[in-house]
Formats: sequence, C-alpha cells, structure tokens
Amino acid sequence: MATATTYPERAVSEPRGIAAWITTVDHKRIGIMYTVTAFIFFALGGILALLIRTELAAPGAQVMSAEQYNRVFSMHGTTMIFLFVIPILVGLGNYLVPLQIGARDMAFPRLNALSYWLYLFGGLVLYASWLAPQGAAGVGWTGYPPLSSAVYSPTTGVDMWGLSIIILGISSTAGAVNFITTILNMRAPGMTLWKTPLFTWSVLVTAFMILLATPMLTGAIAMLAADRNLGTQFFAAVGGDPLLWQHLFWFYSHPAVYIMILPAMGIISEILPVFSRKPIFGYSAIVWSTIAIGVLGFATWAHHMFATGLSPVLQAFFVLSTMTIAVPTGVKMFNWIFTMMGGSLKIDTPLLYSIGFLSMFLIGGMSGVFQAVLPIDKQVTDTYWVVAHLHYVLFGGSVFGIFAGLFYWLPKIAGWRLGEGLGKLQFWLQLIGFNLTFFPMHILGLLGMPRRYYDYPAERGWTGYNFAATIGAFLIAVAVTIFIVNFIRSAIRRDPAGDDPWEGNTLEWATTSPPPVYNFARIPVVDSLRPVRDARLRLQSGSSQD
Amino acid sequence: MEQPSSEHEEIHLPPPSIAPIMVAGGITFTLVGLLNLSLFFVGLALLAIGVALWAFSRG
Amino acid sequence: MMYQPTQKRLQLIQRWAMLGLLFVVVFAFPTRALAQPPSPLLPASENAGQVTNLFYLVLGIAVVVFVVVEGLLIFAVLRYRRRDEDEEPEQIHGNTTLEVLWTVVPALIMALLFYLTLNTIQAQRNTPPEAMTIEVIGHQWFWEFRYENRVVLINELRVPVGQPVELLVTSKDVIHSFWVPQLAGKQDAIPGHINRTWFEARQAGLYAGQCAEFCGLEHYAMLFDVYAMPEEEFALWMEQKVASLGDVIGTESVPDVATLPPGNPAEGQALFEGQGCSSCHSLDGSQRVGPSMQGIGERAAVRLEGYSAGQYLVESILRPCDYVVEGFVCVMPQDFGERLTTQNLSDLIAYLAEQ
Repeated sequence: MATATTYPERAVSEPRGIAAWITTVDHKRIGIMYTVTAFIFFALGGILALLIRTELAAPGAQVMSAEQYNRVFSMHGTTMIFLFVIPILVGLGNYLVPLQIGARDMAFPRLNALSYWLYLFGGLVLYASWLAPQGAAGVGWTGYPPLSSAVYSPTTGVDMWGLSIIILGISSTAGAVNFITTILNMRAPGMTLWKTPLFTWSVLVTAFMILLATPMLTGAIAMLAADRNLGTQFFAAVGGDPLLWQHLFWFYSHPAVYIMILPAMGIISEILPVFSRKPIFGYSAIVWSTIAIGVLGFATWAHHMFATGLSPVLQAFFVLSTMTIAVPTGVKMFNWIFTMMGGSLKIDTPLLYSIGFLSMFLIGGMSGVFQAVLPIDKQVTDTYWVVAHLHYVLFGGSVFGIFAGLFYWLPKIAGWRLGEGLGKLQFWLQLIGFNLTFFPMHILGLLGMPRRYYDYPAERGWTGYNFAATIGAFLIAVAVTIFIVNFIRSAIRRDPAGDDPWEGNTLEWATTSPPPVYNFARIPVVDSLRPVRDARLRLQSGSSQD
Repeated sequence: MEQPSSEHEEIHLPPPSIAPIMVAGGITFTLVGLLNLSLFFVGLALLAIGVALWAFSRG
Repeated sequence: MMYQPTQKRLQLIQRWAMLGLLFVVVFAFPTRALAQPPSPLLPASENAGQVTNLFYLVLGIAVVVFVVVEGLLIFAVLRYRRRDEDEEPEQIHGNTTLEVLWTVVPALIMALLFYLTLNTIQAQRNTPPEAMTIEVIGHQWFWEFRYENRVVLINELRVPVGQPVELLVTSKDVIHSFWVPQLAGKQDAIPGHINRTWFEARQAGLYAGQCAEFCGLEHYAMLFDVYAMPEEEFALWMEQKVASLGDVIGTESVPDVATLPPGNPAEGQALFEGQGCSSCHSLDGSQRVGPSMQGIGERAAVRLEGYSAGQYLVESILRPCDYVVEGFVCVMPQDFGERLTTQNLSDLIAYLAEQ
C-alpha cells in the first residue's frame, strides 16, 4: 500500500556541528546532552569522594584542611544528587519516553531544551562557587541554618549554592510539566495507561513528585537568601526558628530520594522481563506500588528530624508513615524476583546490574527500616550508618540501575553495543568495590563514628574500616574507568547493534538504532504491553509457515 | 503492530531554535545578578530577547 | 535436557562464593571487634540498653528477611539461566495470592515494629521526678555544662551512678547535637530551643561524648568526656566544686591586673585547654573563630592605648565584647568570670604572656 508519507530531510539551511546541538529541540539529542553532562558531573563528584576517602583513610590530616574538607563533602553531596542522579534519569527519560509511547517528541520541545540548558548553567554556577572569595559553601548539601546564615557562613559561596539549586529547580519543574503532558496526551493509539511501559510510568509518577516538591525547596532557599542578604529572620534563633528550614528542606528532599529511585526502578522493570523472556510479574501491583510510593513519599520527611525534639504526635506519625512506605517497596522487590523465577535468564551486563540493584537495594532498604525505629535512629542518625544506608540505596540502587539502563539502551541510542567482556568486568569490580566501601560504614556507625567528621581519634578502632572503605572507593573508580574505556573502544569498533539486539518488548525497539529524527515512520497502533514482542512472534510464526 | 492503512501522513517536527538557550542564560544571569548588578541587567536583556524569539517564532 | 554444570555456571558459582566469602569476612569483623567504646552497642544505662535490645531484635528480623529474599533471588538466577537459545518459558503475568501474601506479611512485621517502637518511646519519654537537672549548651566548638548550683564545666560532664540525670540541651550559636552513645540517643542542641533528654548511668566509668550535628570547622573536634561516678564520690567532688565557687571572680567587676596573685603558666596552659579556649584560639597563628594567641604576649601591650598587656588580657577574658579585634565577630562567652578564680585568671595571663 503506497502511503504518501513525507520524511523530513535535514534542510541545507539547518545548523550543523555545535550550532546544531545548541539549537536542538530534539528529545533524543537533549537526552544525550543530559546524559553526557551528568556523567561528567558524576566523575567530578567521584573525584570529590576519592578526596574524602583519602582524607579519612587514617587519623590525622592527610591531604587537606578541615575547611577544605567541609567544602569537599558538601559539594560531593550536592553534585551527586542535583547534578548527576536526577539529571541522568531525566536524560534517559527524555530519550526513551517519547519512543516508548510511540510519539515523535515531547509535548514541549523548546521547553525541553530550556530544561537542559538551565541544568548545565545551574551546574556551572555551582562549580563557579569554588572561586568565591571566601570559598565555596561548606555547610553540607543540607545547608542547615544557623550554620548557613550570614553570621556563621558569610561567604557568597553559600548564596551561589542556593542560586544554583534554584536554577536547577526551574529546570526540573519545566521538565516535569513536559513529561506529564507528554505521557498523558501523546501515547500511541491503543496504548492505555495500563499498557504503558513501566519505565514511562515511573517517569510519570516522578514528574508529579518533582512538580509538587520542588517549589518547597525553592521557597526555602529564597527564605535563606532573604535571611542572609535582606535581614529577615525566618530561620533565626530569636524571632524565627532554625527548625523551620529543616521541615521545608526535607519536605522536598525526602520525595527527592524517591525521585532518584523510581526511574531507576522503572529501568529494572524494563530489563527483567526482556532478559527473562517473561512478562513482568504483577504489572498492576508495580504500578500501584509506584503511585503509593509517590504519594506516601510526601508524608515521611520528618524522619530526618527524629533527634530535633519533635512532639510525641509527630514522632508517632512519622514512624508510622516511614514504616508504611516499606510495604509497597517490598511488593516491587518480590514482583521483580518472580519475574525472573521460571524464566529463561540471559545473564548479560544489563541483567547483572539489575540483579546487583535488587541485592544492594534490599540491604539499603533494610538499613532504612532500622532508622524508622525512632529510638534506634537516635543512636544511628548522623553517623556512618546513615552514610551506608544512603549509598546502598542511591549507589547500589540508583547508580546500578543507571548503569543497567546505559548498557541496555546504548545500542538503541548509539547504534553500537558496549563490549560485554569489559561490561562484566566492570560490574564485578564495581560490586566488590561498592560493598567494600560502604558495608563497613554500617559498622562504623555502630561503633559511634559521626558523619561529616574531618578527622577521628586513633584509639576509637575506626581506622581499619575507614581504610577498607578507601580501598573500595578506588576500586569503584577503576570500574568507572573501565566503563569509559569500554565506551571509547566500542565507539571506535562500532559493531552494529541492529534495531532490537535484546529481543525487547517495548516500542523503542520497533525503530532503527539510532532512531531517525522522526522516531517512527508511522505512529504504531498498540494493543498489548509488549507490542514489539508480539510483532516479533507474528513474524516468526509467519515465516515458519513457509 | 497494526499499521494504519492508506494514510497521507505528513511528519511535522519542530524546527531548531536559539530561544531556549537564550532564555536559560537570561534566567541564570538574572538570578546570579542578584549578587552582581551588571550581570542582572545582562540577564534581563537576554531573557527579554529570548522570550520574544520564543513567543513569535513557529514551534 | 540433563542438568549439566557448564563452564559458565561453575564460574558463576565461584563468583558468588567469593562474594559470599567477602560478606562473611566483612561481617566477621563486627562480631569480634564491635565491643569497643563509644559504641551504642555497649550500653551503660537502662535507656541505651533498651535501644540496644531493640536493635538486635530488628537485626534478627533483617537477617531473616535478607536470607529469604536474597536466597530467592540467587536461586532464581542460578536455576533459571538460559540453557537453550530457543527456550520459551511459561508466560506468567502474576499471582494474586502471592501479591496478597507479600503485602500482608511485611505489613504485619511493620505493625509489630511500630508497636515496639512506640512502646520504647513511651518508656523513655518521661523524666523520673528525682532527676538532677543539668543544662547543656553547645558552642562552636565546645560544650558547656551548667549545674543547678552554679557549677559550670567545660567539655566535661560528671554524673552520679544510679541517679537519673535530665539534660536541657540548647545551643548558643549553630545547631549541634549532644551524643554520649553508651548512655543515650542523640539530642540536637538548637538555639532558641530547649530539648530534654535523660539517662541513668548504671556503672561507673568514662564515656565518650561527641557532637553529632555538623556545626562547622571544628565539628569533628567537639568531643567531651562523661564521668559516671559512684554516688559518694560524686557528692564529694560536687562539694569541692561548690566550695571553690565562692572564689570565682563573678561577672560584676573586673579586677585590676596588679591585684592578681602570681600566675603559674603550666596551670594556665591546663586552663587554656580545659576551659575551651583552644577551641577558638589557635597557638600557631592559624586563624579560627577567634584571633590566634601566637605572639599575644607582645601584641597585648600595644593593642589598646592606656592598657598594659596584663590588663588588656584580663578584660579580653572577662569582657570579651568590649573590644573586638577587627575582622572578628564577638562570639566569645561573656561569663568566664563565673568559672575563673583570680588565681585561674592570673595563671592564664602568665601562660598567654609566654606566647
């Protein structure tokens, strides 16, 4: 049947080279820019982590002063959260969501580009703060007043830190509007919400969380900026309340951790069915659990404040809400495992990282349960136990999920695959290095080592665990280096991946690798959760009838 | 997947645009300009031009 | 098809075994080495003991959950590896019974934990009426402990064994957190707030205290000692302390340096550290919250016209905000007069004169 479809060619007058990237509104290019930029910030944040670990490897000053150390760990946290994990997941979402729903682009392509440039510029403002005359902000990524007030931290580094987060907040909020509009309005014919891929679902719920939570952080920072520069007293000890900041900050920052994990969970939900040759177990349970986490995530924030003197009612409420949110998380864990149970597992790097995710997130989730028990939390909060917990969920969880997604989707994005041998080597090194770094931190917390300590007494018995953690951190660095080597090698080799190297289920695998600028020649009509698999099976049964 | 039959389908894609990076720069300089007055006005100018370009060009 | 362990399978088992060994090795450390102060797992009070018991209960549940869930995961990975490129497993979409099971069982476990948590909170909430009250004031970067009878200690807390002690915790500047792991959970020291916590030490000893809320430059160095003393020893010590109170200068007047007794620099050095001066004033020229004391012996003589070095130092200690060195904010406590006798003051000045 001849259909008169006109394919847009790149016009002669269209920008080329750098100009093409600066003016692009193509979600695929924007997704690539997000991912590359985020990876660079990952490397910067990682270097900061190596500096921290080098300093802490033994008692006594090793490589920097206390003042520098305070700036380094503050910048490490802010970089990893705001400039790496959130943006790279947004970037993958940017690339994949329109493809997964059978659309040609996002609902607001120029707004999409705006989000990216605001992200880049926000990151540049943050890193410019290293040059502030009195030094970069050294108040933790949490910036609690009065420490972050003008009296105790006069440096403009803190103001620049605050401004950069506001810029990033505008970026995120615009992105959230874009994703919600796109997912709710531009799905292919036949794709009801209940036939929407789980990664897209996770991005949808995440976008709602971003939309509702980010204004709180922006407001809090505006109030801090006003206190610092205009003489207001929102967070002053007299005339205001320092605790107000903590409530406002954590009202955003607790949902933020779910913002960081839900898309990674979405990636796992995509990879497991494909690599198990089975449908996802309990699709609707996973959808409802994701929504539950999105909603409940707004009700748990004060569990970060159990030592601040909350009233008994608040204490009970937040203990309950925190314990409750463990339930939908557990439901997802079981559904993932039972996706693999009885399947036919192809143990390639994407699946290895997914299995790593499940194991590490299990540990991280459980250390969180200890913290939900308020009296236990009053002993382990603000210690290395929490550092262990947060890295098990954010690194063992989100970052492993991110690498799973990179190995899974890079063939689609680039047209070539990452080397499997190096991929597996990277995985094992990263798994071992990660556990060597962060498992001992549970013990350090139980031995009484507080967080954010520049130095510690030799007689506490903390030295051995700290040294082990430092070795582990360098192992992680080696693993990440292997990834970069793998990337470069594979980019040079360019083994063509083909449209559907993994026998995928969802629509991104229905088009070429990389997709044409218009994504699909014709917008597909969908009647199941696994349209590409259905088409593949029809093709196979068709040819077997010859 | 079913293919729609005999359809004249014209694929429309939004053209590239300089407006987003201009507006992003405008917002950034305006905000950072709260610490430095000259940057503030650069920001406002970028913002005005960028928004105008955005509003009055076809998307 | 017969189950034959392939080369790849053996490799995988090897790798998992190595990982398991790593876990065991790392896990084995705590079993042997955990018993080290100031670990909260070495409780020295009833309250801390209850928390430790709760911890081990949760740990038990966690280990069981981990073994079950991780076991299922590892089983699935090992058992269902693809052995035949053409194999197509049964396409199961879900199971309602299982969904209900793994929703309800975790919910029940959470309900149990919630009940135990609330119980423990309630048991520890109310301070016993016979508790001795002590004010705890966090400063950048030292701890001030004020007893009801005007005795004030710096970086040192003394409590009687077997008697509950209630701590009213606050801060003079930024947020700190009062933490003696072996005696009680943390309590944040927030300016403008008074947070209450209490404990009863059940055995004599020296317990390490730490600041547990990031408070700036010397957060890591804001350590303090807690001495739990048998009741009679404590009473004796308190008697001596109260007696020496009568000698303190007080905050009403500022003595003339000429009237001070001869000073002992060695005693002065002990005071310089013991009173928390070294938290803010370095001796090596490095700048901290306050000016460095390096060279102060000479500088003090020319600082203010009409002031001898000695008098300048006297007034700088007792009335710190009257004259503030340029570039610094006055955050120095203004009540050292309540903690220093004229001899103390003289000793300090003798020590500083040598810097």
